Amino acid sequence: MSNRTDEFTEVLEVWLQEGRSQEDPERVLDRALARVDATPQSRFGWLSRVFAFTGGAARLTFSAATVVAVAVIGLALVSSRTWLGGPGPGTSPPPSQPSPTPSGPANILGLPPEGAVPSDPSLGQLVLRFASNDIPPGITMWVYADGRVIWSPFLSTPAGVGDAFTGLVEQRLTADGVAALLSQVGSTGLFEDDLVLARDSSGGFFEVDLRSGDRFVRVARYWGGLGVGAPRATDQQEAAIQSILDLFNDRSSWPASGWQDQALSAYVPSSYVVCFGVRPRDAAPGHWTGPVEPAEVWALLPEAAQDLLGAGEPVTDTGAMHADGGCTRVTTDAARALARSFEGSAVQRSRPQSRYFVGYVLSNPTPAWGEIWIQFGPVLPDGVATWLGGG
Amino acid sequence: MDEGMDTELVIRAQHGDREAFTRLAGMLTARLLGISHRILRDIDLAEDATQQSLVTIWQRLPQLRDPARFEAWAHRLLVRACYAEGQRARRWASGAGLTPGREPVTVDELGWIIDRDELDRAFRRLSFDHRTVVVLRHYAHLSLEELAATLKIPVGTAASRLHYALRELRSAVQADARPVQERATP
Repeated sequence: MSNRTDEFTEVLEVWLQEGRSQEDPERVLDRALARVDATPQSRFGWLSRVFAFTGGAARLTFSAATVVAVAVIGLALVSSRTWLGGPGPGTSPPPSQPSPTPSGPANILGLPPEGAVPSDPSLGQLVLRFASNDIPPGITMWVYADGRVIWSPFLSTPAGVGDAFTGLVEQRLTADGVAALLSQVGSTGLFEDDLVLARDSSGGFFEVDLRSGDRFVRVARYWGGLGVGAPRATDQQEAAIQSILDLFNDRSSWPASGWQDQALSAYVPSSYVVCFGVRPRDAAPGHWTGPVEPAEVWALLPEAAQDLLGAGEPVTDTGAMHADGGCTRVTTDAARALARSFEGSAVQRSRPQSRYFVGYVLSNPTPAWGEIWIQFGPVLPDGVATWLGGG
Repeated sequence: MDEGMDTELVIRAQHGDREAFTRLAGMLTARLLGISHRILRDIDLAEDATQQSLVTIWQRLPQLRDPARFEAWAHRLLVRACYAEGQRARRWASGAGLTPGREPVTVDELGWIIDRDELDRAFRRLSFDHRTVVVLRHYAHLSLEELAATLKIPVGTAASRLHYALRELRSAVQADARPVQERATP
């Protein structure tokens, strides 16, 4: 038997050595080096990741999500005037909590169902981002040069958006509508340069990023934390901020001629960013190892998940996603398949009823690791993922 | 690590030294191309996968914690690139094989003729994982430990995966081939 095996192996090895005449490694090397010349190295260090958000949409979404997360947690715990809909005086009625849509065997709650058509085109230039929780229950809105207006209604499910809704909705402006909106915001006089202001009473945050050439000008007003040390807004600035808040609060006041399609539809992303982190067994919750070789984590997941993640594209601009361990970008179909690969395995959904947050946890995967977390974030048309973990 | 693949070169490339990376890539490319060609059984796909893996190696070098593990890490990225390329092209089953030829490679003691086409057909029937372990072990001549490190799987898993891959390959060859006596009979 062993002779047979040895002989077969010998034949196999001879056969495997054949075919070299077809191979031209020099050509492959030349092509690869040409691409390398145009490819920056990705440095995954935590600090470099944080400070890499020095401009552009990544910084915008990152800071917005951070502020939103802080605001959600802080206000919910401390104040009765919470935009989560607490029963405090002067607040709006609590937004309706979405009841999970019954999902067929092929659907994963929080991910678009099979057959959902991704927003077209997959890429677009972000021209304005507005985020504030001065408009209950809070809103973040992204406006693109192609007319798309994508926004997150936080915790509420607008009527008529359909089963593909996973936390973001989409409307479309005409080109003139986009120009008019930008003009109206820009005409407030606030956007000469980046401006951070403080408010002297507790309340929500306000952020607007307006494209100016190849960069964004940010105007923000915070109370506490991020506003510490910032100058107090003048009456004129307060009035300008209020006019922007009114503009975004009452979108029905936007001229009908500016809309190409005012009806709300679910924003279906073309891709998702999947991020992970590892908590050492002896670390407190919230403390993570920092960057980890992705393959070390993937090797602990079901085989189908390893394949899907292995075929993904490493992501350096992680946007609003928590990226302690690293992130990879996969198509929406692959994201769905990935979520499905976790079913029946030790990888457990973190919040099984959440329509906005698709996250998983694998507990005690190794003697040293207490937990691996994995989170999915929808990628917006500007190519950056956002985080909808509030619900 | 290969003798020529010195750690200093890896570290320099990790810090963005293009010249160091060019030298590293020059040492690696033929080997990576050879592996990918044998896994994918298609020279065009193999070139694309090798090219992509070299770019990914450059991109992600700063994340490599232990430069001494460079080669296993590079092989791992190549395997991933092969998988992605194969998925993209979906041409494994119908792609052109390696050197065509009808002459037998050998005749074993049981009288089974194994020719190139039979081996090629049998190999194409293997799963991606099985192809990978066969190529890494019997073409790249990695030890089981190196194989396990490359694929980030336990040594025992590597051994059993290789065992089942060879068993499947052999069964497929035997199913495809006919005994010499049968062939000789009109």
